[in-house]
Amino acid sequence: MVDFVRRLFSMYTLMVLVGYTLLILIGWLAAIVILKIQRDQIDLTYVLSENDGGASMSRFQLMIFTFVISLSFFLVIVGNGENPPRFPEAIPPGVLALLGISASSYLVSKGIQQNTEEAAAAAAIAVTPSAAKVAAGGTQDFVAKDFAGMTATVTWSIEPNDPAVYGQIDPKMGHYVAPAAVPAAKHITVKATTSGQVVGSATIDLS
Amino acid sequence: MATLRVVATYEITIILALLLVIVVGKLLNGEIVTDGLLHTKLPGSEHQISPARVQLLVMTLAGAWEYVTLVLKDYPLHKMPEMPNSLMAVFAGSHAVYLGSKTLPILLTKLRSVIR
Repeated sequence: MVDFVRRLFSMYTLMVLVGYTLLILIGWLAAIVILKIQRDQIDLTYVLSENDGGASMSRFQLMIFTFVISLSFFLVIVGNGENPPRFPEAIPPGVLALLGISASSYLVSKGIQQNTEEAAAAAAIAVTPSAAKVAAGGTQDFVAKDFAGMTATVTWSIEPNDPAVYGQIDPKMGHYVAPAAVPAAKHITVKATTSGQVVGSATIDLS
Repeated sequence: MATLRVVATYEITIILALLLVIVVGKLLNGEIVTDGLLHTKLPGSEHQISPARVQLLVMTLAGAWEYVTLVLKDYPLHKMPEMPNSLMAVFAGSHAVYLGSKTLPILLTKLRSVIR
């Protein structure tokens, strides 16, 4: 009886028991994760996307290398079945460098993206007034102000751009002069542009 | 213990294979969004193909393929193959070009505002 108990709780038996317990636990966790991914309870739809919804190249390359290195590592541990599985003696510095470059590129890319969004927000211009009613032959001055409330230098234009019908705006001063007669389409958009990019707008209703 | 090793090997193989199949399947059928992967994100030119992104994609796939072929040669020896220096240099250069293409417009915009 003592021998039986001793054999039952020998170190070897315990190791095997712990091994199978871990396998069951890992298998159970993996099954839950895979099932949730398959049923879209873990949603991978935007796993490669940036905040604006577009797919990110830096995320894509990071995913490729994560798969390649992890699957390679597993294959190297298992071997070809002739010897028992074992860890490689060393992880080559080149592989670590590759993963480092891949992950750093992702992080730097995120930083640049954040900077771009902040720059775009900072570049946004408020046009005052944002909406104006102008009588035939009347005038209206528009002013562009940046996020700090300072007057911004922009180029002014109107849409539709037909001075004879819709009047004209001074491209530097933002001084709009309405046409003598009100056209059929009374709605005009005023655009403020810098470096060829529209940074602000306002509307005019002719009356 | 030998049986435990075999069971563990099969279990992890099945888990990794399933994960790979699901992710690749979702990529191919569009459930994982890849719209705009190769398009530039600069305001006003969102629908233009970005050469920097294309070269990074090509280099990523070529680098991954090269490493997989090295692994397939060395794996029976339980040895992770070293990444060739030439490949590392090309890979680093490719990432530098990609990041440079993202940084350059910001730097130019700041430079313009300083000059103005």
